[in-house]
Amino acid sequence: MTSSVYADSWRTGTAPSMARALRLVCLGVTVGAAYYAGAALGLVLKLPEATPSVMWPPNAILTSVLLLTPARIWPFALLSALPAHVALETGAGWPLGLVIALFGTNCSEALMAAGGLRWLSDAPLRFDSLRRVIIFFAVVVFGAPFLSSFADAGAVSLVQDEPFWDVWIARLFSNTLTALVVVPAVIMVVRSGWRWVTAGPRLQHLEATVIAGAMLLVGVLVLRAQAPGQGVVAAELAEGATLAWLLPFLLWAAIRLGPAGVSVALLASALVLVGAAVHSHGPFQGLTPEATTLALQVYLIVISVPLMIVAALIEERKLVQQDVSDRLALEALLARLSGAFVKLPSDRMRDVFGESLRQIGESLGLDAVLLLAHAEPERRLVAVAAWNAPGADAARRALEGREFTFLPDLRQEPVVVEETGDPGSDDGGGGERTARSDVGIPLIAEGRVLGVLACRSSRSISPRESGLLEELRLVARVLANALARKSTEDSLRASEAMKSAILSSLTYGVVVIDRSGSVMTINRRWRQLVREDAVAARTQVGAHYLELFGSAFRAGAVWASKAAEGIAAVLAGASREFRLEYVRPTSGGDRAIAIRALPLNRPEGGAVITQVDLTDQRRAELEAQRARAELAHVSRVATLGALTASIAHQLNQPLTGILANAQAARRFLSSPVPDLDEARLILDDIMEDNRRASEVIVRMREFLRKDTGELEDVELHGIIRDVVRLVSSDAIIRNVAIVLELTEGPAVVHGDHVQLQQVVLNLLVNALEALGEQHTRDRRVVVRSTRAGYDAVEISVIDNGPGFDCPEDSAFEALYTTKPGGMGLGLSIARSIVEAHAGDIRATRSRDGGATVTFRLPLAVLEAT
Amino acid sequence: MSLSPPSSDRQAPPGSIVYVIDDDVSVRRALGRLLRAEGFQVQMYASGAEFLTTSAYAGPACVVLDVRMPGLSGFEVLERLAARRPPLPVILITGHGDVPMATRALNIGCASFLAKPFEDEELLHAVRRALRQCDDAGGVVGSG
Repeated sequence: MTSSVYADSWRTGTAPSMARALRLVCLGVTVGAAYYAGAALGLVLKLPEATPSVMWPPNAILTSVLLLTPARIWPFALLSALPAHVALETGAGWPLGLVIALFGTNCSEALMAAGGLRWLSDAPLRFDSLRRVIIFFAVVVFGAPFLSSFADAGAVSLVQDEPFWDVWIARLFSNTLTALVVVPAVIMVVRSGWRWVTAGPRLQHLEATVIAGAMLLVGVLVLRAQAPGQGVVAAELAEGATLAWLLPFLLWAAIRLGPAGVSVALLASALVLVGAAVHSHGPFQGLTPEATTLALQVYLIVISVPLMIVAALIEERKLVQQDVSDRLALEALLARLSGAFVKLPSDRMRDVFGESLRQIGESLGLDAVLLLAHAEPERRLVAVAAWNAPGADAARRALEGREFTFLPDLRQEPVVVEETGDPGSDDGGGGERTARSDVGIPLIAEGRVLGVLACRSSRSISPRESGLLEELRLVARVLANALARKSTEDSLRASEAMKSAILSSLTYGVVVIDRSGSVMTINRRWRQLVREDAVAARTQVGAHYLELFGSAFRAGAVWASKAAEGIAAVLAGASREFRLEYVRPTSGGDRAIAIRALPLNRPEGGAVITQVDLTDQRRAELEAQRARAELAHVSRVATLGALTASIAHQLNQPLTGILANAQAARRFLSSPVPDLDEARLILDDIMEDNRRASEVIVRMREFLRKDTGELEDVELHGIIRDVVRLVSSDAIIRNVAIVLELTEGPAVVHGDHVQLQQVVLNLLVNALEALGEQHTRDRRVVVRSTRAGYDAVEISVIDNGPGFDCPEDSAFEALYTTKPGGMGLGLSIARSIVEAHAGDIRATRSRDGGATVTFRLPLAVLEAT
Repeated sequence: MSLSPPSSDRQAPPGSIVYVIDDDVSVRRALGRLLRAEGFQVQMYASGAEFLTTSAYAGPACVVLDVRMPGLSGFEVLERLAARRPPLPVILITGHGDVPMATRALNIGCASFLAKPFEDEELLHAVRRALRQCDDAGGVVGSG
C-alpha cells in the first residue's frame, strides 16, 4: 500500500485565492470561447443543403476540457460553455428549449466520455498503448456518442419533426468522427504542445513542418481544383484522390511523430477533406449531401482508427524499449550501488553514500535525495548524506527544512506527498499537474527500520503515474542492506573496542585460547604480569599455549606439568574449571600466582585463562592471621588474668597439702618410733600434690603460649575437660556447678589445639560470668557434646543465667559487651576461630531463660569415617 | 597470713577433737596427719553439709574449715556454727584470702583465719587456742 498525500494548488495555500479565481475565470472564458469556436466551425462544416454537420466540435471540446480538469470543477467548466451554446444556436433560429436540451445532450456525452475514460483507463490522457487507445475508442469515440445521440435525435425529432433515426445516424457519425480526431489532438496540444515546440527534437520539428506543409498544399490544391484547367493533380484531387495524397503524410506522422503528431495530422486532414467537401471537392462528390457527409465521416473514421492504433503501437514499443532501457539502467545502478558497498569498511561508507545518492538522483531524474539513519540511543533521524541536482539546492534545503514531518510516521511503507499545480499539462490523470513530489521510503533490513531515503522530484512519484516509486524501493533496499551492514560492523567494532577496553582494564591477566590451544587474545595486564615468567613471557597470539608449559617443565617449573594437564582437561571438556596456585621466583622475591582456566562458552570451544598475582593478597591474609592470633593471645592472657584467683586456689591446694604433709612427716620421723609406713604414704601424697601443681602450671603455660597455627587432629572432649579443670576453682568461687554431658568416645577434629581450647574457655568464662550476676542457689553450667549428622560434632555451653539481653547474633560482634570491664572479644574471637575451622557458631536462649552457645565443627576424616 | 585474737599458747585439753572440713582430699589428709601427729583426735569431712549432718561431738572441739568448697561454702558453715550456743570454735583456712575476707570471718565469730599454705605451728597454735577457748566456755555438746 502506498500512502499519498495530495495538496493541490486549486484548494490549498500553494496559490493565492485571487490567482485561483483569475485562473478559474480564464478557464471559463477559454472554455466558452473554444466551445463557441467549435460550434461555429461545426455550423460551417456542413455540406450545402444538408442539416447535419460533418463534424460537431463542441462535444469533443467539452470532453477534452473535462479530461484535462479535476472533476470538482466540471460543473463550472460545463456551465462556462452554456452562454456560447445558447448564443450561437438561438442565433441560428433554433427554439430555446431545443437549444437547452441539446446543450444537455452535449454535456451528457462529454460527461460519459470523460467519466468513463477516467474510470477505465490507467492513464486517460495518454494514447501511447493499444489498451489505452482501444478504451478511448470504446468509451469516447463510440460509447458516449452512441448513447447521447439517442437523446439528441429524440429532442430534434420532437421539436423539428425530423425522422429520429436519420438524426440519430447523422449525430452519431458526426460526434464519433469529431471525438476521434479532436479529443486526442486537443489533449496532446494542451498537455505537451508548448513543451514539444520549445523543447522537442529538431528533427521532429522539421518533419512536422514538412507534413504540415504538404497538407496545406493538398488543401490549397483541392480548393483550387474547382477552377477549370488546373491540371492533372488538381483534377485528381477534385475527383476524390485527396486522401491518397494525404495518406503517406498521415502514416509518416503516425510513425515518426507518435499519437500526438498523428492526432493533429488527422484533425488537419479531416478539416481539409471536410472543407473540400463543403466546397464540393474531394472524394465522394456526386452523391447526395447526406450520403457524401456519411461517406466522408465513415471514410475518416476508418482511416483514423488504424492510424491511431499504429501510432499507439509504435509509441508503446518505444515505451517498452525505454522501460527496458530504464530497467537496465536501474539494474546497472543497483549493481553499482551494491558493488560500491561490498567489501567497503563501514567507516568509509559515509563517503560512498554521498556518491551513491548522486548516481541515484541522476539516474532517476530526481531533484534532491537525502539519506537519513536512526541514531542510537534515542533513534533520532540524522542525515547521513544528501545530494541535489545542479541548481536544485532549494529542493534539498526544502527537503531538509521539512524537519521530516512526514518521516516520524514511517513504519514499513513509503509515504508520498504530492503538490499539484496548474491543470492541463504534464501527465496527470486527474487533470492536475504535479508540481513536486516528496517521498520517504523506510530503509528496512531484517525487519528493522534503519533509516529513511527521502527524495524530491518535479514529476509524480505516485505509483499510479510512474514506476519511480518501485525503482526507489529497490534502491532503498540496497541502501538498507548497506546501512544494516554498516550498523552491524559498527556494532561489531564497538563491541570489539569494548571487549578490548574491558580486557585492558582488568587487573588480572587474560589469555584466550582456541580448542587446539592456540592463543587468540592476550590482554595488557598479562604482559605486565609475565615479564619474568618463562611460560607466559613467550605467550604470543598464534603460539601454542600448552606447548609452552612443556618447555617450562623441562626448565624446572614443577607446576607447569600440572597446569598443562588441567588446562588440557578444560579444553577437552573433561573439566569445567581448573585452578592452580604456584610460587614464581622473581628478582623482587617470590610471587604467589594463581592460574584459572574456564571453558570458552562458544560452539567452537576454547578456554579463557586468567592469571592473577596473589602475593599482596596472601601477604595481607598472613598479616590478618597474625593480627588475629595476636588478638587471640591477648584475649587469652586477659581471660587468665580474670582467672587469677582460681589459678591461685588451684596452686595453693597442692602446695598446702605438700607443706602440711612434709611437716607432718617431720613430726612422725621425729618420734622415737618413726612410723615409716605413714611417712611413705605422706611422700606419695606429696608427689601427687606436686604433680597437681605442675599440671596447673603446664596447663596455664600451654594456654598462654602463642599458637603456631599448625593444624592437627585434636580430641575435643579432652580439651573440654582441661578447660573445665582450669576454671573449676573459679566455678567454686562463684558457687557454680559445671556439669559435663559428653558423648561416649572421642570427638576428633582437625584444628589448632590452643585455639579450640580458647573457644571452650571463652564460652565457659562467659557463662560463669553471666551466672556471677545471679543470686539463685542452683547455678549451673552444662557443657554438652552431640553428634551433628555423621561428620560433625556440636558443643553447647548452657547456663541458667539471665540470658542475652541483646539480639543473639550481636553477641558475636567484636567489642560488644554487656559486662562492666569486659572487652567484648570473647565470643567474637570464638566465632572467628570456629569459622577458621570450617565450623559455625550460634547463640540461642535456653528453655529456662539462660544462654546457650553452640559451635559445630567438622569431624576429622578419621572420625567421620 | 593468719589472724587470731590474742591469747596465751597452752596445751590443748585432753580428748579434744579437731574436725577438718576441706573438699580437697590431699589437703584434708595432710592436715589430718599433722594434727594427729600432735596428738589431736581428728575427724575429716569432704564438705560442710556432710559435717553438719553427720558429726556428733561433745567436749572440747574445734573445726578447721576450708572457705572455698562446692555446695556450702566455709562462710555458710561458719555462720551456722556461730549461731549455736555455745559456739564451736572455727579456724578458717583459704587459698586466696584477703583482709576483708578475714575481717568478715572474725566478725562472724571465727577463732582464727589462716591463708594457705601456712606453717604447721600456725595451725597448731590456732587449734590449741580454739580448743582452750572451747574448754573455757565449758565445751560443746551438739551435733552437726
